[in-house]
Amino acid sequence: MKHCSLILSSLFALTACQPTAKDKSMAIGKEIYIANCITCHQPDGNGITGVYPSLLKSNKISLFQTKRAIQLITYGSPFEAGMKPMHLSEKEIVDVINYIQNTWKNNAPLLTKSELKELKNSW
Amino acid sequence: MVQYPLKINDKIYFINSEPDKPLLWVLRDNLKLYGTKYGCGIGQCGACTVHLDGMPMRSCCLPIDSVGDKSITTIEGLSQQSNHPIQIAWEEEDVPQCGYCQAGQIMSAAALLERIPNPSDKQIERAMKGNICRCGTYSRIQNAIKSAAKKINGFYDDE
Repeated sequence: MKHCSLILSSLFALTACQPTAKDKSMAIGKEIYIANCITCHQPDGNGITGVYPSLLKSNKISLFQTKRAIQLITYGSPFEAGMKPMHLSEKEIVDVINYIQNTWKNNAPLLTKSELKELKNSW
Repeated sequence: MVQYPLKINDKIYFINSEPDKPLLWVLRDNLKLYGTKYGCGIGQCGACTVHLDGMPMRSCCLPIDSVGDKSITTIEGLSQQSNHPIQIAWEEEDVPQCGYCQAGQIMSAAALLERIPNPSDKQIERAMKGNICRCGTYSRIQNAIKSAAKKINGFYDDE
């Protein structure tokens, strides 16, 4: 019995140390953010007042906002001087959104590639 | 016109400029630092990449007013005698063809190695994706980054 609980607690400790899918996605997302987004939205996500919008959300991030983020990254802004489309794969879009939506004070559930496809199909 | 004190390549410059003037034009027009290149002007090609507090930034779409007290490094200030490991590797691998994008490529690569000293192929691809090379020197860029990583760490470990 003692052995059993020792094994179980070791297993728990091992799995607790493993990076989660969210952690992995965010780590990749951070690199994508640095390569593609950081100039306008800045390292702290605050953007540049009056020029580039902040990515910090005070409220819970809605599905609509996630959908809008996917659209902006894929197609850019409809305004001439607005954001240009980013040449990112679906996986990269998922990772960068997971990073943005779970960094600074933002908090959102993990976005998966299949959810991204679903959201794209619902346009 | 506003006067901005800017820390560029470890020197302080006082620049009189309109607040919305992009950093690229301050570097090139005001300071005659021609190493940083104008490519697309919309942050899509990476030719104008400089470091702001070590982070790679596109200077063409960065208003001077937003720089504040951040430290700017251009290709001219990356090393004292063009001897940064990435610059040495670039020469050894004979990376440039026309050379126009290379200052931006080198700045992005140097920033990558600061963050990840031993990047995998995937990590290199990800970090360099925002830097476009019309001559298609991508495989030589990849080799040079690995070679520079080896110089910095004494080994290159591509898992």
